[in-house]
Amino acid sequence: MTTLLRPIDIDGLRRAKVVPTLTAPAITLAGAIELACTIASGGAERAALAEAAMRWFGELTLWRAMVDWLVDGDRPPRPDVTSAPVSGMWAIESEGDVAGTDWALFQDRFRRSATRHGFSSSLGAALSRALAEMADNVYQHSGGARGLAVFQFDQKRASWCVADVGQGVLASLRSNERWSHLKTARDALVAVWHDRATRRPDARTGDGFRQVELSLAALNGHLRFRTGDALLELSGEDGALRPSSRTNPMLPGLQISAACALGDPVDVHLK
Amino acid sequence: MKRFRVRDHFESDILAGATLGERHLRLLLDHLPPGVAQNAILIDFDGMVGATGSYLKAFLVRLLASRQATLDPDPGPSVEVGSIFVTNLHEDVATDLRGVLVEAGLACLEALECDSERVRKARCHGNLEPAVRDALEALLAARAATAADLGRKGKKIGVTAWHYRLGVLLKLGLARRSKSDRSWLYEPAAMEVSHG
Repeated sequence: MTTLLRPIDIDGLRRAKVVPTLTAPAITLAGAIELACTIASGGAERAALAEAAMRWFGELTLWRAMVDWLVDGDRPPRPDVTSAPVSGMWAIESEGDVAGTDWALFQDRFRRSATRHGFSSSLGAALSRALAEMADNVYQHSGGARGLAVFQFDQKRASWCVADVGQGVLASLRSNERWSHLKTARDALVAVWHDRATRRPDARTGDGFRQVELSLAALNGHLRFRTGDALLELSGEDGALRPSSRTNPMLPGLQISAACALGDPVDVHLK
Repeated sequence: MKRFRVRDHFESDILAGATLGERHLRLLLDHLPPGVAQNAILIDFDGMVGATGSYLKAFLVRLLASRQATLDPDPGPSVEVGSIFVTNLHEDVATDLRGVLVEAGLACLEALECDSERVRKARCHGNLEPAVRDALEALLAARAATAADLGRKGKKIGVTAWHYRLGVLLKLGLARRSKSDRSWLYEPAAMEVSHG
């Protein structure tokens, strides 16, 4: 039976002193992005894991694109399929990456893919707004580090993630005097979600995650929101997202994974 | 009136993220000619089917707030303009706009009919306190009035109270004013206003 690596397994890989032996494992999109961030932030300490991961997933275009960007700074090439691709990746580093024309075109591709995979056009637009807000959070919170947005669709299932290995939400929020009292990454996550904390000094409250909440709550959605050594998970049930938070093996930056489905949610494997 | 077409600055029909809002605010300020203080700006959302709260706060709320308080201590951009209107709002954008305006305690007029000189019909977004709304109605009925004029018409409300209410309308961008002898003469920013 194929081993499927989910984010919780990547947590285990960060804890483990020795890389386990796995034969042709599969990985979810959320798992892949956290593994790529783990390798990108680990340097020599993660060399063995990086080597194993490349052996496991080196054939997957999306995986290679994530690692090439996060580790080496090589931007992904323009996509061959520009109408409604099954998957896509977008590199985030500068303002233009979340406010320019090419970014708008990437969002359009995401929306077309959503409708091609069974989502209505209004749902596709709502998911696209959520993706855009999440990506903007990467740019706003990363402190200039490289980040990315990535998506993959399967029939009636959507999975998308944004991530960076920058300063993380705690350091970002603490740059705003109003939130300088925050002590832990977990406090920071709760502040962002519950109190709508924002690092922006001119804004009283942030709105980015309200958009995500609205989009996911009604769609059997799942959101995994991690930064530093903290994790917040939210599951959509009966039109509301139920949160739970805990500590998590350290990983710099911010990683957010979202998934939703029309019907029962199932993990989408990276293809 | 100076028109700023959002569509000219972004290819998609959904506006999301504070970064994009900040960029559009900068572009709009660059777009204004020097000495624009008495002019109106018309922000045209034609073709836009969605806008998130983050975007609207970073662009429009910031613009309205800095117009309201040109002595804003924040280091961000501030602008002195006569009035700020939005136009061609998709209903979803209007709904999101109302949400952020209410939260910020601001209001904004959506131009429904206008010519190059003035807005004839507008829809007001944002919650107005009953007294402010009554003051707007009184000003719309009078077309142009000083606080003293309105004080003479409505005996229950004193001139000082009218000064205050007209000042609120001015700050919200729902009225403009000019000097008339030693008094401020107020006019509604649009000739006819419905409430959204």
